[in-house]
Amino acid sequence: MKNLFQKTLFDHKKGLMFWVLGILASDLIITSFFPTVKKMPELMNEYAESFPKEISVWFGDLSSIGTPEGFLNIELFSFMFPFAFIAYAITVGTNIIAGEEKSKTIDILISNPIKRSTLIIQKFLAMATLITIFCFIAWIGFVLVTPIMKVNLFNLAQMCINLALIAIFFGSISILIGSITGKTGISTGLSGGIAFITFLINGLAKLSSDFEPIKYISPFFYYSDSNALFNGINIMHFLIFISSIALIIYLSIYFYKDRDLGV
Amino acid sequence: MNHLKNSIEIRKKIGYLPGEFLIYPNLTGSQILTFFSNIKKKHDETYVNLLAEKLQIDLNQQFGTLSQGNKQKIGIIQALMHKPELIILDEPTNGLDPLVRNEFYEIISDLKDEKRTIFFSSHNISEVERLCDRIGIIREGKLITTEKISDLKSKQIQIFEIEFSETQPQKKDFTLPNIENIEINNKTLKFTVIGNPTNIIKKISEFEIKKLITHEPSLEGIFMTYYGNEK
Repeated sequence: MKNLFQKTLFDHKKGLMFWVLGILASDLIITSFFPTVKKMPELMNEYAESFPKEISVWFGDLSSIGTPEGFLNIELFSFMFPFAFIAYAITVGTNIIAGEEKSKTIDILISNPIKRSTLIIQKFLAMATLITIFCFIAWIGFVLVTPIMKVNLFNLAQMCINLALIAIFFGSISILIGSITGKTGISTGLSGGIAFITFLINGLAKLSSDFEPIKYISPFFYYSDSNALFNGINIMHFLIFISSIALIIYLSIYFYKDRDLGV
Repeated sequence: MNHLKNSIEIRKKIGYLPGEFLIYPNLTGSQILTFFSNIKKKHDETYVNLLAEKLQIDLNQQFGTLSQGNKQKIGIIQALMHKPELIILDEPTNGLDPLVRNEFYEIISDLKDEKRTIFFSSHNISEVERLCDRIGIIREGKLITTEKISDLKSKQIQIFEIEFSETQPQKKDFTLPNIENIEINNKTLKFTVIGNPTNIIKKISEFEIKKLITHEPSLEGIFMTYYGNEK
């Protein structure tokens, strides 16, 4: 282990393995239902129409369930995958900053010649790498199931990039909160709370004009608005994600570098 | 060097062992030391192996499975592995068995001979006496004195033990300004004399005595005499 980046990857390799197995299982199980759904278009249309239209706001366009992209969007990418990936990112983000303070290993680490900014950057890069690996393997899972479901793998790759971005965003939020407070409970709870509230804001903005102006503060808007599975990634939204993440990490360093750590 | 601007350069020159050495339980001793040597950017495998051999520690075991004493050994190697100019050790012998403790004293003595500065905190005064040149005494978080061990030991302190022939000694007969810690047990009197004992000798000569023993106290005794009651 040459540095904190490698060590952070090493620490999370087992956890990543379990998450990856779970995601691959979801890929396989969910997509195995698609041929059945495809064979019954009328029944599925009836089924879709039986739900209130507002449901589409949260879980994707139900009328498109008969297409591979629509099916994946409804079943995985509108709710299940984002929250699974965000949960993973928040767990890792909390563990690498606030967790190190909780276990008091930070005492000996910062007594060594390492800058606190380097510590944040290397740990952030490790978290981003883990999430990217996680997303890549999810995409590989879809490549494996192409005999069941013909889907545009290039668009799917772009959707997975969107997924990685929103997960890294919330992982970075947990790094920021950990950098400010040093508390694992606050870091996990607050980051998860922000994810849930911004998810609601994005959905409510589609239902009520009162929420329309604040949809831009929700990362879920940038994640879902372009509908990357059908249209590919929106470069502007991509850049907003990247710059927001960079800003959050900058703020994490700002708050962490002079804080009296709890050791 | 400015401690803020040159913080990294300064930390490269320091080896630190905290009072409670907590580190990654999932890594082996060897992985922990490789990780820290990479951060310190100084890797002397021969010296690490020498320290491990002296302290009798298997570096291939996971840190989380080690006993308290073995964890402490990894902490000691981590602090010394880059041969720092300044070594700060907080209760380093906690959990070490007597044999390993002796090896540790030898390692510290070698580092002293190499003119490295060592800050060493301990509640064990005999080990302080053995290793240190100067001591600072901290009471309730406040540094109450710093002295050379040789100066502290050269203070004129003697312990008197007197066995009287017949007369039962009375405490009031020996309540003199330079006498402390008076203990009476039947016909035996024990006390500590600070400074010149001439007045004590005169006082003793008034009694018929069977046996008189004097000896110099240990560093601990000196410490307790001077600072034991200080607030």
